[in-house]
Amino acid sequence: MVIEENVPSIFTWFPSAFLEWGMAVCVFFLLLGFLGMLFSSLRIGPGNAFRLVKKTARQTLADVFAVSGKRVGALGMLTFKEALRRKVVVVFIIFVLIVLFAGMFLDPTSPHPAQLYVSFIFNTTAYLTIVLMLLLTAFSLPADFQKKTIHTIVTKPVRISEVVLGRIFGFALLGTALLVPMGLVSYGFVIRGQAHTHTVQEELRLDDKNPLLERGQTTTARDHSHKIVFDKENRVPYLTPNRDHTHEIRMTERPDGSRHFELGPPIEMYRARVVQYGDIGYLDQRGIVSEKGVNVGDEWEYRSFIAGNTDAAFIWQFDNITPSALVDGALQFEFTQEVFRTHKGQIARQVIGGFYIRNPETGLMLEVEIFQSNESGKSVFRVPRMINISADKMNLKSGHRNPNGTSASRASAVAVKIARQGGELTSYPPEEQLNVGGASRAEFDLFADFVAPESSQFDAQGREIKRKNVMEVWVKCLERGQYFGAAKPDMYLRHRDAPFAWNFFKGYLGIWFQMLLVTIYGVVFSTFLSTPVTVLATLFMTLGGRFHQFMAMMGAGDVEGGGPMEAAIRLFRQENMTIDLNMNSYEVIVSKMLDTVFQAFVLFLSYLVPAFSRFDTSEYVSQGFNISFDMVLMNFCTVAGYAVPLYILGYLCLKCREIER
Amino acid sequence: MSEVVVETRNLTKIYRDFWGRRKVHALKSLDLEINRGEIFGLLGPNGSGKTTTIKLLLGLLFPSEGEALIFGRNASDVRRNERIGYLPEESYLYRFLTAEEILDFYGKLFHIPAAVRRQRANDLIEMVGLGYAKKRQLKEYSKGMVRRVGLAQALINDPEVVILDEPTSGLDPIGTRDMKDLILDLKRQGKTVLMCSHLLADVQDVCDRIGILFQGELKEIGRVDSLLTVKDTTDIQTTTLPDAAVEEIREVVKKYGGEVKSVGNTRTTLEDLFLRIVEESRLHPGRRAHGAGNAVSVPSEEGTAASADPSNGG
Repeated sequence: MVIEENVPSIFTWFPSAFLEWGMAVCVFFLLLGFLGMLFSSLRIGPGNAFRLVKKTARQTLADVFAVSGKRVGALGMLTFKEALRRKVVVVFIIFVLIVLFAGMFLDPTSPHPAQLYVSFIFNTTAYLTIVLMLLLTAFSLPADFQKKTIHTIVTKPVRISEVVLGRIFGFALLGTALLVPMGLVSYGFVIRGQAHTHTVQEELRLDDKNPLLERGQTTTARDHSHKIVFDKENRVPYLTPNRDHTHEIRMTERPDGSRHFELGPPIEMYRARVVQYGDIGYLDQRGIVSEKGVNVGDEWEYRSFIAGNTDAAFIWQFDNITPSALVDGALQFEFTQEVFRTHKGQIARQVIGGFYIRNPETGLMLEVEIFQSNESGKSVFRVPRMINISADKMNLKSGHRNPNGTSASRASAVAVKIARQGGELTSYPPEEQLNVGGASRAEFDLFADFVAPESSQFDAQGREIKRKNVMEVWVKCLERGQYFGAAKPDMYLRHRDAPFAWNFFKGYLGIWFQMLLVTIYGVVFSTFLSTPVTVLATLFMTLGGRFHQFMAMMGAGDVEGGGPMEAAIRLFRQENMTIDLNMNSYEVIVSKMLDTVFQAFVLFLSYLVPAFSRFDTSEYVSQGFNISFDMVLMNFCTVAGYAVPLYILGYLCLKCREIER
Repeated sequence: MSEVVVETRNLTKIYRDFWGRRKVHALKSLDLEINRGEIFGLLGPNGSGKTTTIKLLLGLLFPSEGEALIFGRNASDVRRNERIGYLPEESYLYRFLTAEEILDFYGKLFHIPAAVRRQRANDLIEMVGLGYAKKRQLKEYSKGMVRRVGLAQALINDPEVVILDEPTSGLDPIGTRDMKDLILDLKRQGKTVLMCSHLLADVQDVCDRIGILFQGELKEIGRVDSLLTVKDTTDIQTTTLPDAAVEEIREVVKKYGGEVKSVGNTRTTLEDLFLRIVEESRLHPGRRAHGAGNAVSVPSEEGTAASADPSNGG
């Protein structure tokens, strides 16, 4: 599983986003001013209406910016105190109770326990906080109006803007005060909940198929055990991964020759992988650059496929490849691929592929590794800085041959590698398929030989994009009649992991952003709506935000089958979505026109409704990917982008409302 | 010429429904001026527009026409509120706060420094007689106690103009008397007080000038003493006289063409009687009070008769 979204740099994103935001906000307030003028004209005439709108605009500008921090603080603390004295802490107690009893209903046999625990805890926190904020904000200002407590506020030197801001600040403070202990409890729950270790249950015995390996078994803990693999050649023990983790294993050899293995706590269970994505390109079967690969019949064209044993290849171009990307002296690429078989072949055997690096400017290319993949597998490739093709395990000229022609050291390396991943190598690829590299030198420096200091590329509009420190990564399928499928995010360069606790915190920031947005919407709606309507409106925004992408697509007219009217016509005529409608038909023309109006409305709505799902970064944490600082900043800017116009809108709604009525 | 601090010009309020249709004409072209340092009372039956006037002045309602100004500024200028204290009809306060907290909160809204805020809050709590309950949440208070806290919050900023909407509503007679004393005290401090009430006795006791509203229109305005003076009668109060003296006075009055309309003992008010009994009970706990029928009159500073307890000397 990979995270599909490629987060752009904040510096790339911000200028265009700011421009779009500015335009949307201007249009929104101009529209608001126009509507205000229209309704006022009906009551007091156009001249007076114009003067009123002008005066309101002037006052708004003055009030929105001239805000007293002390008063906002006082109002915020009042809100905070009010909620506390209304026993909001009960929510935290409910949360703790849920966490305490979570072990009773979380599946102990889950193959991904860390993902399960993290997803569970993030969802619980998010739902509890969001529902709480939704209700609190919906009841707050309307209750103030109902009980007329607001009379004693607005008759003090308090601006309406301070009332709105005070409420938002108070609830934000409350939400934060709840989220902090929730976060600490959650972190403890996630870490402690999976803490375990094993001991060696089975003494290690020689592998029947590979004399270089010994195998054993750990005891069962938390419904799983691990296999112990001992590489006799290098005298290194490994533990096969299970349930997304492994354990540190230390071996001590006693004078009598016996070995003692000691296992540590789980490792690699909670990770925050810092990954860098590259741009993907394709070569077709003749080795010609292609826009995409082959479609093997999937309706979902997420992954494109390349044919095996041809010139077809995936090419990822990575930039900014510098020594800072080295982890333990090597570049680490992780590749998730899908295999499509056109013939069964040896179903127990995995399909063979090749991983290569290439300098895009000089064309120098090196085969790094021949790997095997099952139907949907994940491979890890390490590219050391200094590559010595005559000495390392990739030496293809070794005289030691397996019966099928593969070098012995190569074979053992592949076997060990696959054993570490929990698999088993049942046969070896033929030598001629492995010999794809073709480099004549013996030693290479990764950065000097395979990274181009500068490389140009042309985008779809024909503009030249210059990039620095670029390296290409190629993947080929080496078996005739079989296909590899991949998408852009399937290959990434893995940098040094970020601390999991820090990533967990950033994941919680995502909930905090969502909580803030719900709070802001709730407060703004409550300035002019009653409590039940505020609840509904905020709920609509929150749920609608989950379908933001669909709304944006609908607004842009990108949904297959058209808008609701066109869909209705298709339903009645029993015409499926792919058939073009007869444009000369009267009802189709009318339906298209109505759909256009509807689309404009949905497009407008899509600007009002924030894409809530983009703030939900729990998937990053549960899948073990680092939430980049760029992403946090982007989310922060997005929240601020909604907060500012909503705050002004809330101010205007309250300002134009008679407090007494 | 005295400075006008509260002013309405052609102030009109029409309540409309959602569709803009006229429902109630609550206030009709009210022109009013209240000078610095005076106590002005707005009188009128329920629905006459008293509270509407106050809410228009405070910006809680928007005028349909005209202007409502305090210190020459309309409600959109919140800076003027720094010099205004407002006690609403019902004390609309946050019931989850204690008296101390609520005064501290309102003090913060005026940017009063913390030390001053604390001192002023303590003084006000003592002034309204709630020192014993200042740590209790308002939800535990009686209506009268909440009203007292409401008054304290109205004075937290030491305002120049105090607007009181039905100030004695919900108060017991002692509280009512205290409130009236306080209003008079505010006047002595040079503050301007605008109050509205339908309790005529309250208004009469404290107001310098009154305006009488009826169905949204100002029917009468002027000084209380001149408005209440009955020009065709003469009131003479003396200590108790023998019957012969009374007869003699009748003759004298007749001689000058007048007519004695009634002769008898001066009647005290129920409020005075109640306060006297409470005071006596406080001084002599456990003893039955004997206030009824023992009232005597004493000359007040202004020369008018006022009732007093016999024990105070008559």
